[in-house]
Amino acid sequence: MTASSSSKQTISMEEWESKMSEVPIAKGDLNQLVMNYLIIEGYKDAAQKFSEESGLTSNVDLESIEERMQIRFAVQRGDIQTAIERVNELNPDILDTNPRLCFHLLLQHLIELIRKGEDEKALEFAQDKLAPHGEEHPELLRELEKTMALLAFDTKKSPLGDLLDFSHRQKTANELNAALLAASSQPKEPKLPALLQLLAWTQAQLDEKVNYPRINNIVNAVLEDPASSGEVSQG
Amino acid sequence: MPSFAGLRLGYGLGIGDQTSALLSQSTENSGSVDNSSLRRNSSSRGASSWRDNLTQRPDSSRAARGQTQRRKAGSGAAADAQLPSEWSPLKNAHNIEVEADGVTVRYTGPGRLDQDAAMILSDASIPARTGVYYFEVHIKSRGQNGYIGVGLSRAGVSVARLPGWDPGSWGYHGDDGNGFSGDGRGSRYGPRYTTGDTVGCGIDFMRRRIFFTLNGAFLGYAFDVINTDKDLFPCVGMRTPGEHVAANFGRVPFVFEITHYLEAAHDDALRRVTGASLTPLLPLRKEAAVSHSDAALSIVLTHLLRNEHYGTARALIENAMLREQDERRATRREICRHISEGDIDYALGLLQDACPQVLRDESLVFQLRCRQFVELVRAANGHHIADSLVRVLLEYGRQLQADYGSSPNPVIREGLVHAFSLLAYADPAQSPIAALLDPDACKPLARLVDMAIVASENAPRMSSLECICRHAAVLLAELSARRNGAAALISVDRDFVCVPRSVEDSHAEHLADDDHHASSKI
Repeated sequence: MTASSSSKQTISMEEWESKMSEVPIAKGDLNQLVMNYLIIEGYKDAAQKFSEESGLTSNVDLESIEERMQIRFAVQRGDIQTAIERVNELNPDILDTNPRLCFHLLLQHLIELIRKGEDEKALEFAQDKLAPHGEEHPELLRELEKTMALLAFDTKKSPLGDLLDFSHRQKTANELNAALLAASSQPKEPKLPALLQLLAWTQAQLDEKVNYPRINNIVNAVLEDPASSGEVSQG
Repeated sequence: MPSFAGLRLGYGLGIGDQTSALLSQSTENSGSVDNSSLRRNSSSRGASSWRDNLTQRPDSSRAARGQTQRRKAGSGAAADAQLPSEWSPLKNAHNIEVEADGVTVRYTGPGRLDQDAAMILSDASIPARTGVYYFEVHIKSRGQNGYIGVGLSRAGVSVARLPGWDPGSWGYHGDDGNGFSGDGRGSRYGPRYTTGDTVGCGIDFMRRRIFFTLNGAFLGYAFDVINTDKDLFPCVGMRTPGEHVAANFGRVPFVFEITHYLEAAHDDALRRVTGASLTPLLPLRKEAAVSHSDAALSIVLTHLLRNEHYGTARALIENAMLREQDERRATRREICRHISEGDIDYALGLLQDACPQVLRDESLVFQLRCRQFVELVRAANGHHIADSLVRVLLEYGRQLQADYGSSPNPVIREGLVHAFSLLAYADPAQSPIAALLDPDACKPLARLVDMAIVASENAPRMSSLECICRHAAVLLAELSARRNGAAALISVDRDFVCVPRSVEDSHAEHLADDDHHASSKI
């Protein structure tokens, strides 16, 4: 344990924090990042409020995200049918050219049917609408099979509960949102996730060279003291 | 001086004392590319791309003149991070002579045998924090046989040799077009070169590979991946009389379009980053890692709360239909209920027990206590001055005066006057400031406290977002200081914070031309 860790140089918490405090970061930059996130994710009200509260003038037309936001809300509510209709009104090509996305929306609809306990409808829907898609794209079939297994369990206790979780709707909503952005040739990813990946990549790279205060949980972003976590991270 | 103004605005690298060293190394110009040299001046973010950045020449007085094209950013001056700018001055010149300009060299030996060869290194090694380094050598004369080699060498390699003959040096030779990688055995590499040709040599620290160019054409990567932990110097070697070459360490524009190469390398560096998996850094919820999008959402939310953008936070919570996971929700609800019912002191007591951090916000506590005062006014309204309620009110008011009367904060002083003005009216409910007594006035305060509690649960000194930005900036600086070429090509503000523009499309087209560079990697 100690051989490899002690041969590596260690940058102390104090040193690291002092370096961090000297990074000339502007609040305006962070606000840009937040605004970029809100706009691209289609959180219109939040974006609008943010431009008021932060004094950040966004040159993006907030109205242009309205449509996207309504579609997102429909998915988040579990109202997939409305979402699909709205997408098709907006641009029928989007679903035609994204079989995977289309499948995921139908799958989400299936999940909603199961959630409501409409098992027969769910079965019928799966066989009529989803299975044909699966034949064209065999890799999608597994997801369908997994979803159908929900029917076998009491939904509350199902080991497949994550499918029923709200965050699964969120995931579907994000996928759809990205497709809508791509169709309007806007950047489909906000900057923030890339920044998080930068953190992951740089940490992995620096791990090879030195011990330093690491962030092991990006949500709370607490620096772990290398003095105490050195051995743990060896594993 | 060329425009250095923007350099410190970015935080890709500005790390304390190191900043000057770091920025300075691009001072001297050349094909060396690091964070700072790629950085855009923030004011030019919108329009210009980083390839327009300035390169300063080794000698800034000379640099100030003339050189308007293709220069990269640089500033300051720190001796320890000097870029190669001339051939090393020789104490005991052996078969070679450096001319007065410092960059032109001539073979002066007998040129009969291999041991008559002469090699010369640059005055400085390629500094750390370099993503790509590049220099060119123009062949003024091939001399008798054109036994000329251009390449890179470590310090301490015998100078009575040609580049690539001995371990620790690498070279591309003019007489046969072969590449030599430290064992003296050449292998087929590129065309021969002779009088009038310009040979370029570059090292890509991200791919850890050396490449050459001839008259502006990329010849591909030579040699295997090399160890870039040890210092490397540009070098040139000659062996027969009349050989005469001049180096360009970046004082004048290169024949080869190095910026295209840099763009492709930069692109590749970003691809490496975006290939990174976030999963190990995501917290667990219900035994599964939370999704990327949930993580991003909560990072944004925490940032909003930390910076008191409560309205935005509320809108985001509604927009994203967030549902609370919070175990302490019950306490929070209770606190907020007491506040909205006007029972502020009780709520303050609960806060003291459950979330003392919230009480550190002076202005929030003041607002709460003022509200308590107003509530007491409401309760005492209509009672006789001798009534105990009135005495409680006056006592509370005195305490408030004592605690805040001399506050330097004008908002607090004004709030105090406002609250006390209620006492001026026999029947405050009929007074011009009756609105203060509206019981609903407690509600926004309750919401404010609600937010403050949520925020305090995450209570880092700065928002996760800010922490992540700063942390990533330090990580990049540490990595590039340790010869991580990809890290040297990337900057937090330019690549990850600065919001993308549609202008980048033209830029992307540009890169397409250079795809063969990027794809011919390892």
